[in-house]
Amino acid sequence: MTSHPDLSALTDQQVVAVALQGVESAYRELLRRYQRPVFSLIYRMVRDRELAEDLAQESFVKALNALDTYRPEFKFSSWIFKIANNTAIDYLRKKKPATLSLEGRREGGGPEEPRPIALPHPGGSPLDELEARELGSAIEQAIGQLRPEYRACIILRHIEGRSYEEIAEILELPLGTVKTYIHRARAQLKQILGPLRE
Amino acid sequence: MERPPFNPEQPEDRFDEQDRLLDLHLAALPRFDPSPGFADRVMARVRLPRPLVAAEPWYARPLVLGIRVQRLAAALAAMAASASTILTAWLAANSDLVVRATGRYAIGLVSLAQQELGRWSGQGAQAVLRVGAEFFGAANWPALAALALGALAAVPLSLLGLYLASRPPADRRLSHATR
Repeated sequence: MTSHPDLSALTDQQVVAVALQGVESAYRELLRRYQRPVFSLIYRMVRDRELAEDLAQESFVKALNALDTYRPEFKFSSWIFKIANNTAIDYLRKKKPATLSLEGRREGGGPEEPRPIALPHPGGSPLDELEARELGSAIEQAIGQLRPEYRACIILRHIEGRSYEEIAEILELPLGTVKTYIHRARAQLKQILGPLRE
Repeated sequence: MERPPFNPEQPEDRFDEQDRLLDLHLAALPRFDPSPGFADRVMARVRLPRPLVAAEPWYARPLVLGIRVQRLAAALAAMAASASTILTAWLAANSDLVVRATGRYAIGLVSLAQQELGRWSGQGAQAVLRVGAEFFGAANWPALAALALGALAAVPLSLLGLYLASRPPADRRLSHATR
């Protein structure tokens, strides 16, 4: 295997080009860059850690084994998010999941280690920390109540910071539909959460 | 609660303090890490391509990678190209026959047109038959049949080969992502 120590300095497209030479470290670099956002997206979509791991793994295997079909004139992030979102949506369409907490506890199933969600409150009191964590948890639950399409839009826009155009490309939706979905999703979130405070 | 009035062109038109706070809290939500060893589990299922692939343009990579449909397409295109080459060679070798046959046909048509200008009658129909008989009588039927079949086969095979070669993989969504 050829050594490519400076892969982290390359663009996604360049890393893909190196990967297509059969360089395993380039594949690992792509995984390193996208495993968190892809896993987070799927986790928030299906709301089950174990299942999200399986689906994220499936998405990466699908993408990396089809890397030769990736066209470098398009964003790699859009490509991988599209595959991940399609994998999650396919699962949700096939099987309506049971109500789950984002912390991964299956109702009636075995307990999982909860993951605390805390907003950054520099210098905040323990009470602030607790409130922030509760609010974060409430927001996660509210996102979980949205329709999968709305959920994907909100996650990609507000958590992953993607542009409307990129979301439209990822979700294969018209730009106007994406804007509408995000607007409605936000309205629903505000309705579920009630008045918010800083 | 009733949904607020909404203009799809301006989704931020009701941006207020609650929206700002919602943005703030959403942006603060963390990303999650998969469990340790996730990358290793993925890599265990990934087929690394042969180095040759990188040197190929994107549209030729499937051929190198050996995708079945693409290999079939390449075979069909090669068959069509071979058939076209053989036909061209045959036409070059038998140009006299082709010229004679088409020449007679053309002369016959001109003569017929001249006759028809003067008189359109039963004789005109006879002239059509006579020219037709001359043309078809002069033709080398086995050779013409081979020519026609070859041409008929070459065109659709070429088109099919090109179509299959340019076709995205079976997974529509995956290929769509590469559009």
